[in-house]
Amino acid sequence: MFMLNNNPLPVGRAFTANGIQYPANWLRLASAAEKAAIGITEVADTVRADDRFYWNGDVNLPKELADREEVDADGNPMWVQVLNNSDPANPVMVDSDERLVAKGLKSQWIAQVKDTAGKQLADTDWMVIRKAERDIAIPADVVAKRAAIIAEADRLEAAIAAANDINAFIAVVSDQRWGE
Amino acid sequence: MSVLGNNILAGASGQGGVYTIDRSLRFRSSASAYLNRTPASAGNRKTWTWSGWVKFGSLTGTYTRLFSTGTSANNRTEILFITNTNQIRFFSTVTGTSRGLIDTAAYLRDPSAWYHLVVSLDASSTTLTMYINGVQQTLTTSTAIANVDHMVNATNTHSIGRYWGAGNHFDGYMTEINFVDGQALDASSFGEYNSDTGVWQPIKYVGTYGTNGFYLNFSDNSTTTTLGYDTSGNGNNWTANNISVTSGATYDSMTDVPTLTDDDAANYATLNPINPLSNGTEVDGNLKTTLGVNGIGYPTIPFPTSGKWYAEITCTATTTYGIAIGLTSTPTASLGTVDSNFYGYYNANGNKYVATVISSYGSSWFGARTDVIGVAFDADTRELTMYLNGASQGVLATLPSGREWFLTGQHWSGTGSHIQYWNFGQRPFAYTPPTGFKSLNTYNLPDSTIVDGSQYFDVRTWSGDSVTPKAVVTDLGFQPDLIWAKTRSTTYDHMLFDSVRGAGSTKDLSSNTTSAEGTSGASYGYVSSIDSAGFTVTKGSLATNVLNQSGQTFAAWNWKANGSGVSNTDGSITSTVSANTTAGFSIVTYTGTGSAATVGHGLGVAPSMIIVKPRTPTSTSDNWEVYHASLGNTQFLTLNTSAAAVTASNRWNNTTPTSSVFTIGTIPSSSADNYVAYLFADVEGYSKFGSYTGNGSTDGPFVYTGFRPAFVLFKRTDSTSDWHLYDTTRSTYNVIAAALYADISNAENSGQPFDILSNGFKLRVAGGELNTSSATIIYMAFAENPFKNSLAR
Repeated sequence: MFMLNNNPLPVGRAFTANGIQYPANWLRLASAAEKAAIGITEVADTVRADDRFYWNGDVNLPKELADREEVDADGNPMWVQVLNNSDPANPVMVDSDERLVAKGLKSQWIAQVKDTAGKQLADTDWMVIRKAERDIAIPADVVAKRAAIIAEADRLEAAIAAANDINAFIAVVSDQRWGE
Repeated sequence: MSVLGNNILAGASGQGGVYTIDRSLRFRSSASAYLNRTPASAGNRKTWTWSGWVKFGSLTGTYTRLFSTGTSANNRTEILFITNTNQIRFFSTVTGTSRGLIDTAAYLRDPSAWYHLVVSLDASSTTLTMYINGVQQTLTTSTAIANVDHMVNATNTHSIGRYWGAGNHFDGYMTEINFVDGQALDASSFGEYNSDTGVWQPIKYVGTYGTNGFYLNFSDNSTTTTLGYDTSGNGNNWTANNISVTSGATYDSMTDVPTLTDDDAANYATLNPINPLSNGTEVDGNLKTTLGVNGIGYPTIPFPTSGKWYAEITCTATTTYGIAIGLTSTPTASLGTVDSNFYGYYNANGNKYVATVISSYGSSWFGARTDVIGVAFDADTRELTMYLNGASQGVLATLPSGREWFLTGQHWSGTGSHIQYWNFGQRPFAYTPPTGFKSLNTYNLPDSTIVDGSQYFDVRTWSGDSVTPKAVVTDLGFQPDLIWAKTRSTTYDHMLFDSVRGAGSTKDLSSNTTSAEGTSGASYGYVSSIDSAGFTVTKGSLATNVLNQSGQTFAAWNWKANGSGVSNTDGSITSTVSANTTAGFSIVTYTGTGSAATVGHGLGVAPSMIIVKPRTPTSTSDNWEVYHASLGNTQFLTLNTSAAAVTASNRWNNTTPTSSVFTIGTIPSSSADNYVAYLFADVEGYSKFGSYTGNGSTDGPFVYTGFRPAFVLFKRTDSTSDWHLYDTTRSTYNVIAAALYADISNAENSGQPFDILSNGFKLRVAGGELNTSSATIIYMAFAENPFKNSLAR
C-alpha cells in the first residue's frame, strides 16, 4: 500500500501532490525513486479486521461483547423512542418506559444461534407434531439429528456466554458444527 | 518520467491496451461437466496459487468443486463453492486428518456478473489467503493450515468443476484460470484496478508457472480437446469431459466474459435464479430453466431504454402446454390471463396478449416439439416483434414508454413442465438476428455518465481521538457539499452540514430531531470547515465531541453538489441552489411565504426524492418532510419519525415536481421561515429511487437498480418503520447488515440482512421492516459503479 502524507494512495487513481496533478497510471509506472521523490512511501498492506467483530476494520477496536444501557452525550439515561401519531399530520417520536440497550456481540450471536437452530429444526418439526397428534414415531435418525442440533445450540450459547475477550469469542463463533 | 503527456493506458500491465478476454467455458452441472488432468510428476505440494474468473450458475445443491484433487475421501485438497451457504471453502485432509478448513466470511451469490477468485497456499508458513475481486478476504478458520504436503501437485487426478472422484459438479462459467506451482502469489499478479472506474480487472499473468502450472483461457474452441489446452507454455493440457462444442443449447464455448471485449464478448444476461419470481429450476449457467405450472423465467438484465435488442428462447416440450413468451414491465405479471404489464405471444393459438387485449397474431407453436422463439425489441421505437423458428410474426405491439422491460417465458397451463433454453447471444443464435439488433451484454449497454460513483458520493469511517480541530476525512474524490455524519458506536445524534448553509457551530441539523439549525454544535461539536477532499470537525464547549470523541467510531455519507450555490428564480420563491446536474443532486435554501409556492432546484430534470427541513422552525411543523416519487405528490413521510406515509395536500400541494421547480404546500412554507431542501433525481447507472413489495421470505425480492449500490436507504411506507441506512463501507461483504437509522440516534446494530449485487440488491430477511409480506418499501440508492462496469459482489 502506498502512502502520501499519511493517507493511503490507491493504485489506479489520479492524485495531487505538492500542487501537481498526477495521472491515474502514474503510480504503477513510476520507479521507487520517483515515488520517494514526491514523498510517497510503501507500507505492508494491513488485512482488514473482520467488521463483524471490530469497528472500522481495526483490530484495535473490538466491538463490545456485553449489552450496554445507553446514555446520551451528557450521560443521561436514554429510552427507546416510539411514534406518537396522535396527530398523523405532525408525527413525533417520544420516549417510552423501556431503556435503550445496545446489544453486544454475545446477545447478537446467541440470537443468531437460536435462529440457525430453529431453521434447522424446522425441517423436521412436522414429525414432532405428527408424533404428538397421531403418535407416529419419529425416525431414529431424525431424533438423533434434532438432538445434535439442540446440543450444538446449547454448546454454542454456553461458549459464547463464557467468552471473556474478543479472541475467545471469535474462536467460539468460528467453530460452529451444525453438520451438513 | 514525464508527469504530463503520458498517454499510456491502464490495463494490460502497462502495455498500452486494456487486457480483454474472448471466451469462457460453461460447466453444465446437468451434464456432469468437468476438466481433468493427472500430473506426470509431482510439483510443490505446499505452495501454489489458483486464480480464476468465475460466474455462478445454479446456486442450489451443497458442495460443488471449483478445483479438486485426491485419492480418497481421506486424502484430498479442494477449493469448493458451498452452494447452500454461498461461501468459498478451502479444504484439505491428508490420511484422514483435516489439514485446513477455511471459509470466506463473505457470501457469494450474485449470478449476474463475474468474480475474480485467488486462492494462495503457503503451507510452509501455515498460511492460506483468498482474494475476491482483488480484495483480501476475511476468512473463518475451522482448521488451520498444516505444514504438510497437501494433495494438489501430487501425481493424482486433478479436476476442475467436480469432486476429486466424481459428482458435486460446479455449475456456471470459468475463464482465465492461472495455476502457479511453487509460488504463493497475491491478486495483483492477475489483476489491477481500472483507472477510470476503480473496478478490478484482469491483467495478463507474466510470471513463471512451475512444473505443474497451467493457463486455461478456453479460447481455442476448434474441438473439445483444444478447449483444454494449456497456453502457459508448459503444455499441461486438460481433458474436457461432458463439454460440447456442437451448436445448439449444449454449446459450451461462451462469449460471456468478465471484460468489455467487444459487442460479442462481455458479461451477458442470463436467467436470474435469485429473483424469487423466476421460479423455475435454473441450471447450466442459468441458460436452462424447467418451468412447471405457473413457472416464470426472468433475466438478470432488462432491455435498455434505447437501442435494438434480440434474444431467443428455445422451448422444448414432450406434450402440449400453454406457453407464453414476451416482455413484462413488472415481475408480477398474472399468468394465463390479460395483464396490463405483459405483452406476449401465446403458443396454443398464436394469439398476442397486448396488455388487456387478446387478439390474433401469428402461427401457433402448439405441440410436443422444439421451437425457437426470437424476441426483437426496438427500444427506440418500443416495437416488439416475435419470430417463430426464424420467421417474423410481425410487430406484436408498440410498448408504453417510461418502463423497464424484462424478457419473460411462462408456463401458463398443462400439468407437468417444459424446458426453456435462453440465449442472449453468449452462444450462437439459432437464427440470424434482424439487422442492427444486438445481444444483451454489458458491452452493448449504454454508457453511463458516471462510471465511478465515488466521484460524486462516498462513505468514510473514522475512529475518534478527541483531537480538535481534526480533519477526520481527507481523501474523498471531491469536495463534499452535503455531509451526513453519525456515530456508529454510540447514540450521538446524526449531524448534517452542507456547503450552501456553510460549516460552523451554528449550522448543524439532525435528522433524528426537530431541532432548529445550530441547536447543539456549539456544545457538542460541529463541522468547522468543508475541505477540498473532506471536512474538519471541532469540539464544542462541553466535554463530549459527537464527531470525534475518543473511543467512539463514526461514519459520514458525502455527496457532491456544486459549491455554495447561486440564486435561482425559476420558482415563485427565489432560492439559492447548488446543483450538480451530472449526479442529479441539488441543495436548495429558500424562505417561506406562508402560502403554497414553487421553488427552483436547478437539476434540469424532475427530482425523485426531496427532503425539506425548516432551519428556524415555527410551531407549524418542525419535521423533516420527505417527498418520494413512488408515493406521488399527495403523500409525505417524516425523516425524523417512523411514521407511515400520510396523505395531505399541505406538503407538496398535490403537484409533482418538474424539471425546474418543486411545489410546496403551506407546511414547508411558513412565513419568513428559512428552509433547506436536498433534492435527488434518478441518474441511470448511478442513483435510483424506487419501491418494492415485500414477500416475507428469506428468499426476498430482487430489486434491479442497474448499478452496484454503495448505499441504500429504506423506509416502509404502509406502516410504522425506522429509516434504515446501509452502505458497503461499513458492511464490506455480503450479507449487508450494519444498520443505522435516520430517525433515531441508536448505535449501529445488526439490522435486516440483504445482499448488495452487481446490478441491484436482494432482501434476505423474512418479514421485518424491510420485507413484510405485501408491505411497500421505498428506497434510495447510490452506486459504486454502473452494472456495465461492475463485478459480482
